[in-house]
Amino acid sequence: MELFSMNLYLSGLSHFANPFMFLSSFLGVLIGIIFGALPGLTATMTIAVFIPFTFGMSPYISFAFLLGLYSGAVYGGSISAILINIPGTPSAIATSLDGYPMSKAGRAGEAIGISTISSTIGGFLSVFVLMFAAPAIASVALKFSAEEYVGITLIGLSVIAIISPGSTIKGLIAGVIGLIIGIVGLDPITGFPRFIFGHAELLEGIDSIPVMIGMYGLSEMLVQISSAEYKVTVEQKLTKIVPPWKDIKRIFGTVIRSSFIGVLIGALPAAGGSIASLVAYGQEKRLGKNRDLLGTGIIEGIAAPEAANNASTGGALIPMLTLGIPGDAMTAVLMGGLIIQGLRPGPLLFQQQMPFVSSIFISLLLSVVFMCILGLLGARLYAKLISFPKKFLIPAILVFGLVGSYAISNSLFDIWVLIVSGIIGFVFRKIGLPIAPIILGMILGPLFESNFRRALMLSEGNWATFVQRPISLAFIIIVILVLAGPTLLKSFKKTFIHSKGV
Amino acid sequence: MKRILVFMVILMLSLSVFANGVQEDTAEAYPSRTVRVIIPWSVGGMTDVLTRPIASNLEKQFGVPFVVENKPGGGGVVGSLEIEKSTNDGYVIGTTSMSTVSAKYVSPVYPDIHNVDLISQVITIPATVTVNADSPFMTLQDLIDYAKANPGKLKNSNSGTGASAHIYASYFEAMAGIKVNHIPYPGYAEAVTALLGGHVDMTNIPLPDLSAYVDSGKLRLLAIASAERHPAYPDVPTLKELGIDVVMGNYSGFVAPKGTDPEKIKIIDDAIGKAMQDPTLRKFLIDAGYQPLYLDHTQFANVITDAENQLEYLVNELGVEFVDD
Repeated sequence: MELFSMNLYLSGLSHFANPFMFLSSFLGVLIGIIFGALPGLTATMTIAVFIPFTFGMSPYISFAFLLGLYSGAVYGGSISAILINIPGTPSAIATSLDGYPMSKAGRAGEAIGISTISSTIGGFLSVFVLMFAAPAIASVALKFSAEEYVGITLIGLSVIAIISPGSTIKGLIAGVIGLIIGIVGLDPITGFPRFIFGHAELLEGIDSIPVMIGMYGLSEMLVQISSAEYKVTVEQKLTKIVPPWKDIKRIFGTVIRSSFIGVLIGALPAAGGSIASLVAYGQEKRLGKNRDLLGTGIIEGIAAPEAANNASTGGALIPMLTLGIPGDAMTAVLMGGLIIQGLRPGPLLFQQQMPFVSSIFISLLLSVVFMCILGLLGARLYAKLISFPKKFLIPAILVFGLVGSYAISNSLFDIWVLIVSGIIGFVFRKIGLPIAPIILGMILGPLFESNFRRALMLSEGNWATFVQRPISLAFIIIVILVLAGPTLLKSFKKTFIHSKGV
Repeated sequence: MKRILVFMVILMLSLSVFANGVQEDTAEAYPSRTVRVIIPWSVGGMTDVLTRPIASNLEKQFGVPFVVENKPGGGGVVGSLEIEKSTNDGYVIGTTSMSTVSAKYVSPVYPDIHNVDLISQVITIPATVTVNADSPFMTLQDLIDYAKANPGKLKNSNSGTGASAHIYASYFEAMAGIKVNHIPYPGYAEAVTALLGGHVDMTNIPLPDLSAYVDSGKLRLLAIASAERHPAYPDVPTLKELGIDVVMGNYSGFVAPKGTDPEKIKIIDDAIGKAMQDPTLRKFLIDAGYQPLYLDHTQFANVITDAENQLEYLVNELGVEFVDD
């Protein structure tokens, strides 16, 4: 596809003379942050709830609002992850690993500041990639078949070994538990019901959202109840909201790397923010300067996943706008909104509706700006929220979590899933099993399994297909390096030093 | 905290939308107050996109609100059951598709199309035989010749084993006398992506999900499985013309709870018929890839009987096991 002139990019700018564009973008970001921060109300649900309100608006105003919601909700998930260790959305799971320790040390304001700045940079970068490289990236994404998805999910799963502080064995046990939970439901390939024990509700598998809220939220509440001593809330220092220049310089490399990971993974249909943020966190653990401190509450641990998940928003719009294929669950809902407006997402949109496409770019940029402003202005307020007595805060959040879990498929069954996972999560915390690998296993396991089997069906049972395809081969090499790298390096050093000695 | 309060207020206000005001039904002209339109599928989904403009057209005709409510869950089972259980005073209508008929093969709890009264069909969603634009198959005959010479070699992407596109593929396979390699994907979008990326050779996915790529020249329609040619693709032959007696695909229509006054059904049916003549609405639907096909409640009943027979044939003769889409 030929490059468009700058005039085309600015052709939507005239619509921004209308102050409603700014208002609707601002409102979208604000509502998105609030909904995203509330566990159980995922970004997808937020967009689905609000999309009917936009049907009467012009497509320009309605998309300024919806894209605001989208960016806001993805960012908002980090706030509750940092403050109360309950990720607001699955894409904030990795954020809680370093965010919560920081907040426990009284640095919640700083953590939110870092999350805001990283999200902003990630968001900006993704818009520019979307504007100038969308067709190129879309054609790369199309090259990804089942084999390549196997590689991506394997990289995601290998992160389990990395994010288990203390004991890798315990992390692996938790990961396997997650994988087992992911097996429940209809077999993705043959449609055979597995481990449903006669319950029709289990046919569609166990949704990861109620499990996540239960394991993080309810179990947190149970831990608080069961601990005998009254927990004094940590006093929060609120002086360092806007990160100083040296912090920004420190995380800059991390943010840029993670943003590109975010855009690329976001652009893959079926992947999305949750995988992007995990892979970004994983690479930080491998390549970051302070990798050994990751998990103890350092700013890189927030910057990597947050830059990645916000970069994935622009990334997910790439296949939607250029191919008409949603990049994730949220863009799938957005696509419905486009069609209702009489606009057909897909290859013809760029040719026929350039003013609208350009207004999408500008709206997205605008929403990143509002996200940055609201994040930095609100950080003080959010951080003060933790000083709010937990006996009120946690039950209130739990109520939202329960309502949200129910709303996912209007099923009481999910409430039971939440409660049971809460109790199991409590036991796991007591015996020191980490929670994040369980959720990871649940999300990635089914993706890995179905693509693995699909790859073998496509190749008619030829296992060599995984190494014959160059991209797939590259991913497998990455996985091997991630897992075996340290050991290999050690033994290499040993032989080298040994041979030198002789 | 203020923000949470504001949120709560918004939440409560929006909940009141779902509240079901009990009103006295007067004997005046029907409809005289809000009509609820229950869609058993989610916002922005296929049925949602086509139902909303029709509902707003009905609003204009009658001057009363037609409030669209999405009740997704269980592949349409939740909402369809809600339609069955709603009061049959004519102020609740709903939408239906083939999954309401196939649900009984899938789910232990399922709606029954015979538990509602049909109003009209509005859309037909024909299955297709589609290949990548770079494919060597220029005609359906090329494809069938290749498949006969290489049984089981053609990779056909579907929307999941037992899901609609797999049903279409199995039926097409049986009627064309070929064998293909069925590759299941989680849904239409992923299955189409696989065809666009050249990872599979063909698909039987229905037209609305492919039309954008056909228009942009990335995919090629070899045939369409409708009774008549599509208005937007007059050059694409139907399977019937090509000697394979297959008319298959999905449909979308309106239903009312069982026992709704036939007079009221007639009023809505006629209004939908009028709406489907509206050039703006027609253009919207065709542009979105749908094939508008208005059938009144008696003709709609035939379509449903055909669908039931086709599904019975698939289950009993071919041994296909269905799952949700």
